[in-house]
Amino acid sequence: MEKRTPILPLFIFFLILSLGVFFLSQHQLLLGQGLLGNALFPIESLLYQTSRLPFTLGTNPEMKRLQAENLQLKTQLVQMRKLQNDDKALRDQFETSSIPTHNLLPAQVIGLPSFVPGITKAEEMLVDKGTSDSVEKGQPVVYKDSLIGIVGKVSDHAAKITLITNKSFSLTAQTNETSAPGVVKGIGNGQMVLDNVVLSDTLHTGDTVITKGDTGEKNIPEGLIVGKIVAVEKNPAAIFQGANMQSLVSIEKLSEVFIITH
Amino acid sequence: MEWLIFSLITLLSLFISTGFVAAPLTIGCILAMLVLFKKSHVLLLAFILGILTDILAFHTVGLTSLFFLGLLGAVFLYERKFEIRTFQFVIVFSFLASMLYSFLFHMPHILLGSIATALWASGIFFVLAVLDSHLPQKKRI
Repeated sequence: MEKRTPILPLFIFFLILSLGVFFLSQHQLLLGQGLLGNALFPIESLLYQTSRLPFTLGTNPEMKRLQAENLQLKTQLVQMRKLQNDDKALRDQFETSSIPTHNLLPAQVIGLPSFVPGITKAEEMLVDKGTSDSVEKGQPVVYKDSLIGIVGKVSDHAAKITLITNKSFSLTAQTNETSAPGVVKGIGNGQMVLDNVVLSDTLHTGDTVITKGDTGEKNIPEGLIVGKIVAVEKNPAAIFQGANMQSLVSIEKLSEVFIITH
Repeated sequence: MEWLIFSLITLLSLFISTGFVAAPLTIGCILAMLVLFKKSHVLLLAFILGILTDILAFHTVGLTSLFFLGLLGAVFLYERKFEIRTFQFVIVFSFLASMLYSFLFHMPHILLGSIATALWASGIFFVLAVLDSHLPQKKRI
């Protein structure tokens, strides 16, 4: 006759064990978490790189080149406008929006959870750099001069990036062309809006939106490209106007991003 | 053989749900295993899977284990009165559990993710049921 194992004592044992682990983790006292992460994240990275192969094979090289060229031109335009503004204000010290390279930490993308990979838009990104590489929560993540997101959560050897299209993302920004200030908010599914722009300011479709580098966002430098305006929503009866935005970078296709460390 | 296949499916579910698809597919593995095998070490599996999920998904470690154990507790209570070795049970329970998990952990696409988890769970249930039926009575788990 088969011996039956009593379930209840075991159930209570694992419940208490889980509570203990949770308590230790809450107080940063859990040992071995980093070791497990070290073992697991490379496997995840390998699986992610393998899964990307079919999508990379189907990419038109000409389209890819044009997209890169377009991004480069937009970056140059932003830099040129900035130089013009600087000259106009008679600044005696040259300032540039380019980020010093010694502050850029290259990070490999190891995961991009979305509902249908490659088709639906992701709202978070996993990268292979963590606290052991001086990555901290709140640091901006860029690709060239475009803002991709902000470090949301960090473990020893990996970090979770909150992408700019994530519903929880928001930051102050301004248009490059008219310097109209507003707040960029992610609305999910690869979309974001520029909100809280006063009616007296001018917004045009195609305008580039850049970071403002406000004091409350000290980690985010001024002049990073957030995206471009694709549609303006202006209602004369409302206090503010808004605009739908689009990122200039195809985040799903990135295999490497850069974290701005300090 | 069954254990090897099940382990592979479980690991695959773990990595897919944390790095690729925003859906808690591991719930499907735990439910399918519990429904088919009714072994006490499903509790151990739930605990370990929960810990690994938390590490890979950047949650506070232990939270998902608590959720999985709570889920198993609910199934233990349910099985006293109702039949749980059915497709209907696996689909409905994994769908509801996935919805609750996605809601608690602020995952996007809650409805689509729950449908995906329910389908994944029923797929594992089917594969394991077929494998189990092909084994001699003595060797069945």
